Amino acid sequence: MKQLVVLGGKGGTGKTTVVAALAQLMATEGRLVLADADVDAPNLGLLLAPEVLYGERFVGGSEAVIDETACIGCGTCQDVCRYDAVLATDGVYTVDAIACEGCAACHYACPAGCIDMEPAESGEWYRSMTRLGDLVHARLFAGQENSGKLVSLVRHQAQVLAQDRDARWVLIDGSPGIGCPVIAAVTGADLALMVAEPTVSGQHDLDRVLGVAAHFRVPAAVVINKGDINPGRSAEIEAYCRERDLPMLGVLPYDDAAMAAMRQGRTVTEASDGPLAQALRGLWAVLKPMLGQ
Amino acid sequence: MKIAVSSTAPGAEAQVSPIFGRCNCFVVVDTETQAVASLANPALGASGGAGIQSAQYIVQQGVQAVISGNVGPNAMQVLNAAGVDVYAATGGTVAEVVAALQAGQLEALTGPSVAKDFGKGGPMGGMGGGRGMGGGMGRGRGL
Amino acid sequence: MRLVIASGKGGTGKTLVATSLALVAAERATGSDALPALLDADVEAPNVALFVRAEVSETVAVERLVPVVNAALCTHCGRCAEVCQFNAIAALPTQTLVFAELCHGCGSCALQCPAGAITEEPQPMGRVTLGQAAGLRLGEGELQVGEAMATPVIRALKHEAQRRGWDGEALTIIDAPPGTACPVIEALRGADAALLVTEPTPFGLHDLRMAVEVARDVLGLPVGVAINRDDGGDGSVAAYCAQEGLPVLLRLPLEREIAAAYSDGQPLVTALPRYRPTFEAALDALLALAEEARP
Repeated sequence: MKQLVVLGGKGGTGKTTVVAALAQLMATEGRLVLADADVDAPNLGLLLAPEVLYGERFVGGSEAVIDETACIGCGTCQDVCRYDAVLATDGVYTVDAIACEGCAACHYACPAGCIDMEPAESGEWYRSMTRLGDLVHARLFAGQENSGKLVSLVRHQAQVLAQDRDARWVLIDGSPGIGCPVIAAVTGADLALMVAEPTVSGQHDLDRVLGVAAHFRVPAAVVINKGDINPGRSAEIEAYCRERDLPMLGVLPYDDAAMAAMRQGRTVTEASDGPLAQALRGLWAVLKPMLGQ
Repeated sequence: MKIAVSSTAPGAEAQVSPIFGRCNCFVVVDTETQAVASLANPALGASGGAGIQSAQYIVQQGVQAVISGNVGPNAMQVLNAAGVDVYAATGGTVAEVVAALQAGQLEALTGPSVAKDFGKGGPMGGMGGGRGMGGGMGRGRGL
Repeated sequence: MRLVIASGKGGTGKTLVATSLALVAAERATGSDALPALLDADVEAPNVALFVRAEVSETVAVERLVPVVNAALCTHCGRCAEVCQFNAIAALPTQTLVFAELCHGCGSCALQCPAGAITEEPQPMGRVTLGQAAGLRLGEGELQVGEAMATPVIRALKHEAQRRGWDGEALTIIDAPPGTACPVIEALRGADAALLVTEPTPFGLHDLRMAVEVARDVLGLPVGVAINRDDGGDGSVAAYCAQEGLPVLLRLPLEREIAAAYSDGQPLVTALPRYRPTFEAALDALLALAEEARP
């Protein structure tokens, strides 16, 4: 079982479009398990119409709750809190649940012992069936933290499922950025495919996300999306990859088929046989041997 | 010798788990008395640092060796620091892998066998890894 | 006055909108007005500086505190590992290991150590860069590669800007990170209004709903919407806005020229001045939305 994670550094480079197409191409050849690790903006499900088979609440951490009746109003909790999460209004101390980091410093420091740590439900995760195979996905409730933990959970569940199903591939749709959810999505993967955009910001962010993959010793390869929007920058990214001995797997063209397919809830390779669909087939052809199969 | 095996379920007939930090269970086998104890993994629901917490727990059980499918770098560092030897086993039951270890058939792991699950480490950052104190980091306790 | 440009999904055009709004605001500020500020709070992928080149005047390191155990004083009681909610400490029989990468810097271990064996030391996790471009103050937060937590860098960026009195009477525009998790909350906290940038696709609608949940429902901010890459093909975003009573303050068409200008790092109002009135109107509408909600 090989795990491929698709990342972009910057948001909106076309990760999910690429993941959905690769999933469709993989599914014609063998069993795969999909994992949507973009728990902040889980969009893969919108294309694959998943039938949810199992769902579970996700407890991301805990948050402090002050028992007002036992509080002696000493303010120690406010003094020890480094997240400005303890509020005092007319001598009554309360916790701002959104600001609370769940560190429990106040719980241990309270001389009256009136602060409890209560589990905070911060999302849900699901195991679903789609026309392309199993999908593990999740949703973080608005404004919640610990998305890295939720991504780890999604990854873990996808791995377990892949072992059960004897799947050939786990395909992971990563999240933008370089922070905890990305670190959780990339670690332990066999290959990270970077979907880069030929823009000044796309180049900058590609560099940073490649740094994360290198840091966690995950081999990386690059594909450029919408290369024809700016051929000059596209060529710069290709040169950048050559300099660093990074496999450049191709340039995907700008194609209205991407948006049209998205609106129909289909993958590009299902909805079209145009230039983008063909380029995606070409991508899979070079990617597959890199996954050792 | 006391050996802890990361496992998918309790008991000597359970399968060895491919993971360490978030495995379901640890089965501790005492090779002298043949006693078998199954322990729930306290780190199963940890938000982060599951490997560290489970490794600390295993060290507290006074074991001399660990057998697991894989061990992440954080857990490995804790086990190394405590002088616990770590061995890789790709499959089999707890009883089988303990027998394999006694027969000298298991590969000793000296570095992490999987990338760490979460957080920073490795050669680039210069912040990775634990800051040890006291005691030696020595390994190599014989079987 | 603080306006935040955010979006549930990445790549919808937050930075494009934020830079052009800020440049329009800068043109308007007359001599006596304090300069408007543009803060790049997308610290995992800070891109504003690629569009608005600033003269950097100052760089401030963002650090976090991590515990250091004094071996001579440690009694190996294990209290530090017990109180740490993040499993960043392993207390072994003869040594105590600290895993700095998991530490949230809460200080609880140092407070609780009965032997006084734990001190805290700063470790770099990112930086804040402050500078100035024509008529505009610029601040950027940048998370160091490999660091997991963006929120403290965003907090530091806001703090540094505030400390220099950038906030006061002048306008501050914040380019937020994408998504709806904790870093976004930190960017939105204390704002007077939020402009949520989306695109007219099923993905755009889905992620807009999540962003509205955060900005309006959780934080109670006045919210307006910007629809980018509008090709007239999908009315569901506009229909959702109408149904929710969310004003659409800005619409940008799906145009290759816009994408090309963006790809070369040119702010839209500079590359295509015909869009200047569009941004002026959007800025006015956003300011009015914020004013209206003020007590």
